Amino acid sequence: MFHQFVAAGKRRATTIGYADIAEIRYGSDGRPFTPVEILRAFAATVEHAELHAFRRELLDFDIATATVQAAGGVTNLYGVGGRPHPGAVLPDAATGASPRLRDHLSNRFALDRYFRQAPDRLTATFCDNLAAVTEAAGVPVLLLDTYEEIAELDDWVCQRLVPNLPGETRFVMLGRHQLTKTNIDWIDHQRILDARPLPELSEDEAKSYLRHHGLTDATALHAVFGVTGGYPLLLVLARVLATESGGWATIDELRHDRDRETIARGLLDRILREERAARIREVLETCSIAPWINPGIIGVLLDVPPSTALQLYTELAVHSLVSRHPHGVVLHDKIRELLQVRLRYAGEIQYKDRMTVLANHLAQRGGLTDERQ
Amino acid sequence: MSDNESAEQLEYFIAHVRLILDGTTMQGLDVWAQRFSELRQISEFDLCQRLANAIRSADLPEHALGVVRYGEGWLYDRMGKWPEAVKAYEASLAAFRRASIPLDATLLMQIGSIHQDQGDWPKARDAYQAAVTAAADDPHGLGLAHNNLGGLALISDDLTAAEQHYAEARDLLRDRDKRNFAAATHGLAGVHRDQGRLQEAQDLDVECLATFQALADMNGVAAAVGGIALTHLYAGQPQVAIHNLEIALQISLDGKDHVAVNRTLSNLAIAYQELSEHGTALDYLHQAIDGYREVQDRHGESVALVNLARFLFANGDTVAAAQARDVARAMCERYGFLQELRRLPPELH
Repeated sequence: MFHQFVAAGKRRATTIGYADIAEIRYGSDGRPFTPVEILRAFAATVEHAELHAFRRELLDFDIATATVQAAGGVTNLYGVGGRPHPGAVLPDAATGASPRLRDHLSNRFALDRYFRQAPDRLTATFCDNLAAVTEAAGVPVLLLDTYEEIAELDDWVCQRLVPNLPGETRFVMLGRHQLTKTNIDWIDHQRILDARPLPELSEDEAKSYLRHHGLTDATALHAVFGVTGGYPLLLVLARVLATESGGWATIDELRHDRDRETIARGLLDRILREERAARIREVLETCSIAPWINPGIIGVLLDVPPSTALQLYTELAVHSLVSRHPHGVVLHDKIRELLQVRLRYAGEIQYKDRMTVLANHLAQRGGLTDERQ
Repeated sequence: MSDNESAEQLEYFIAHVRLILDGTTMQGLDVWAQRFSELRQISEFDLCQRLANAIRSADLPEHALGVVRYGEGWLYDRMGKWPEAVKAYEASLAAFRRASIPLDATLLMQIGSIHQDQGDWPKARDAYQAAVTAAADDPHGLGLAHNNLGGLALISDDLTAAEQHYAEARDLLRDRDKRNFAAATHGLAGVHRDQGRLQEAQDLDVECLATFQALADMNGVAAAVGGIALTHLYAGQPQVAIHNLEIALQISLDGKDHVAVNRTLSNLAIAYQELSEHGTALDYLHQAIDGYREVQDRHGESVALVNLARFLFANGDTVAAAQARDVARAMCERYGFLQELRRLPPELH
């Protein structure tokens, strides 16, 4: 959906800045999860000279950050009175540092303030520059994808970024949760917020998705669309079933069902019946109660030794139902729900017992001692 | 533990809390509050923010919402993000009221304290008075309210009122709350210092330093050491004062308490001016002024601007002193700190 938005915008020559929160948060480049990185992602996609001042400030920020990192921390650069240690390596004009940054770097307290204020200042400059983009090239659109991963940066988006955006800017946040459920302060923006549930994919869009995943036969395309109705979760499950079973034929068995939940459960049943899933079905069902799955969680929830847990995890990690997560792999929220229903149905007592085991494991890894759990 | 390990541990902890959080009881919330408190004591504000965010999106009952928003208010208060802090405290107050939990006095004092830090003294006084009313049947709450009123009176140079409020606060808190009893003692030391009773001031600050050390309250330790330093300064011992101020500064830097850092920088400037090290004094003063501006501490900035005019005049730079006086006067007149202008040398009036 996100990439479709971007592509559509570019076709219409609309200025679009976009950032994927999950990519920034879990990206492999080791950058911190901060407002500056979201602004950096936006700026990298808004290809306009009007963002010059922002890019200039961002360069300063990077130089300041690299200087402190190279020194091993701010205390290695300055004495207690705030003046640089003799021999402290501070950037000069040749490094590209602006006179203003060099001024900040001349004193520890000024540098501390610089870092504290950097997110707000960069936000303000970015938004100022965006106003100039509007004048030069029309109303820009900013897209933030996977907003459900925003976590502690939601305050910044709600209280700093949104109020500073030029009035005409269109700001689209794509996420799984209602904003006001994430943070009640979004009510402050009620007048300008327009929450819209994503509709089902149109027939063309759904077929395009299926074609992308290898289904080209016109009759089969029509049949799979008929079952899924373009509903994203069903399309994903259909795609997973096709991958796991080696074809799309089994999906047609569900053509008589009308209710989405029934179809989803039916697709999931068939996925779990496939040979490759059979070996890890218990892992999928039992570990669906966990927010993420890794060998440690498999070990405690299935009560198996570490070597077995690792083996099961290795098999699970390549299954199409899971995606990568910083602590292992993760199941889609809705698929977790469906799997948990199966687990509870199989035995409420065992379900509760596994929940307790999981809570204890998370508590122990979370640094809670036994008496505090 | 490395930063990455701390972050991972926190994620497991958050997952644990979310799993056990019960919409109707304190289950989950108690361990959350304990971890929040541990992290704030070691100034891990980023992790505190992550914790607060992780829990507030859960389906919380009113009392839990009150606790979480209170935590946020405290966090933003310490980070110097005062508008955000007031907003969170007000949300907490509303949630506790809806849950019929009488925490009005506590929250009104926190809100008043932020107004005071911003230099909006009338609003601070109103909030403290409302807290006194709300805490009429609560000796502990009343003690805290008198402590805050003492601080406001001291900063307004009303030493008589300050002494009365601090005496009342100490009586009410002595057997109820060691930390805040020490805070009231530190306030009373400030009154004695301004009254010229330097030995009494020193004795009280040494007493509360021991209490803060025993409680491992490093913000309190920094405040007490800063108070001892100021008394040395008043006693004409700037070298000793600088030694103590540098200790207080280091503690505040370690605790990421930049609001306290600003005050210490301002006092270091005065100490160096006493030693006729004018360059160093001006250096510290400019850093303090910029720091006060950052957190919008209007009173702190006004005091520092008046000091700037005084230092420049004493250093013989009359043109710069007159310019600084104009800036200071505009600031003091705008925000109602006219009493600060009396500290300008007569030639600058």
